[in-house]
Amino acid sequence: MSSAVKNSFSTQRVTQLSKRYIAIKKNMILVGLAAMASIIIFIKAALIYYGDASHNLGPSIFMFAFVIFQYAGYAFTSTMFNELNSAGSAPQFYTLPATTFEKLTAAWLISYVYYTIVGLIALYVLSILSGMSASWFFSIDTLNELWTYTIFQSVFLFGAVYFKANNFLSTIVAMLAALVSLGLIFLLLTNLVAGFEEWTFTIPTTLLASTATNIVSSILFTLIVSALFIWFAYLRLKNRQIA
Amino acid sequence: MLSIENLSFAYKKSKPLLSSLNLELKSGNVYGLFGLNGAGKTTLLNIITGMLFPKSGLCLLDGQEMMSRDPHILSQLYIVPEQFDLPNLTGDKFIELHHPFYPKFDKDLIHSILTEFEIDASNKLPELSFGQRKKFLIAFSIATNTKLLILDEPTNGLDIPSKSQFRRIVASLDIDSRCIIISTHQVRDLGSMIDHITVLKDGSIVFDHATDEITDRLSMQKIAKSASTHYIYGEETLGGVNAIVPSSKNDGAADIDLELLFNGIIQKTEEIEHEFNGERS
Repeated sequence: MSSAVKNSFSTQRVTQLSKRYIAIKKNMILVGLAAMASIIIFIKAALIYYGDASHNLGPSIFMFAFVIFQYAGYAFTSTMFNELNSAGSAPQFYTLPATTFEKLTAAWLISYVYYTIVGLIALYVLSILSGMSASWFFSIDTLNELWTYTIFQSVFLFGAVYFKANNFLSTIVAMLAALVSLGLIFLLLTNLVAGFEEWTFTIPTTLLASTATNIVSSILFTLIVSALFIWFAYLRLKNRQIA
Repeated sequence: MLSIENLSFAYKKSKPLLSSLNLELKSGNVYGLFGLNGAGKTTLLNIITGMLFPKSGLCLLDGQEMMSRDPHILSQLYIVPEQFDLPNLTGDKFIELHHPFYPKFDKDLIHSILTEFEIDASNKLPELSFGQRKKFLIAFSIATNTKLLILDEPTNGLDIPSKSQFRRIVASLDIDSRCIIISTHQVRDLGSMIDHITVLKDGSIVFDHATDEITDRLSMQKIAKSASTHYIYGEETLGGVNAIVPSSKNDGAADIDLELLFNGIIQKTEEIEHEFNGERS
């Protein structure tokens, strides 16, 4: 790094911070990769054992693996700022000469970009081993799942900064509480406006984009909501103080 | 270098811990920050390093506010906290990952300090004892060559030879362009290194003087119990009283008994400070 430390955004510092995150989380990453490899080997072995009977299981196995990929990603994201939760390790993080934006960018790169790339490669290998065609992997259904993952990942990144302990569980509880609250408000409003029985309320679990317009709107919606939560995470990180 | 102006701080739902604090720290000095338990020393250090935000007032390092946590300002300070956790890395890996953030980092210096402390940097840090980890972090902090170096209870957990080594290492540093703050209760361990004494009491700085000024104004003497000598503060001891007395022109420069001085400042704050306000007798 240059001798004069500048306050403007530095890709060198982001790279160094990324190396630091990876080194600190090396054990967790290795365990995750080992688990992923084990699951792929186990599934391939099961498919070989069951032979023809297993041919229709491909998509189900893929979806199951995708769910694992998502929740492991959320859990991993929740650990990104664990250093801040302990008075013993927080000074190392707070006083590390990098901007809050750089610290958050590096954490996002590791927990979203790199994780998603590695995870999708693993899922692709799994889909091939499961006897699925490569085109299914690149289908709109897979893309639709990715939009949802992107949004929830940003929520968990915010939870990683916001909560001071048990970040993964705390984020899930907060999300459930928010959904229940919104549901109750919705019910109250619908009851007041037009009568309860004429309205239905469903929690969206995936973004369904099948046409070009829908894809564009899904991308925009994902970008806006994700950016919003990443911005919240930035503000929280900037203003967070040692416990 | 470090300027604290009208700084106040309170934890939520608590009475103010620090109120209207003013302090000016200059490079080339080793400051001793003292205070009773709960006086707010660690809180003040956390504010100085930008880890806590003051309720009001300013904390500036070279004119830049610490609250901003800008990389330029953070690269000029390093803190060794009293209690700390180090990541699950080897010492070498820790150095490799963290040294690029400090532009004046001296790799030769850290290796020579680690050699003196007999620390093997190829070991995993969490596998070292607390004292060894502390020595590693002290070595790293010194090697950063930051303008401001803060050591919170640096000798806690160090064995007796290591305390001497630590004193020797700090004494050998060229601190003309650096400022070191040592917060400690171990006044006997570190008293000889300090050239400026700052005492926090009831949320305020009640004493802030250079050791030269202290020896000029006060004298620490052992006087007979029967003697009629007036003293500001005294502690009975075998065969007499260890006392703080106003210094006279005839007194030569003497060592400061930091423990006695600290107790005196806590017990007789106004009387001691009075000696620094008027003309020298």
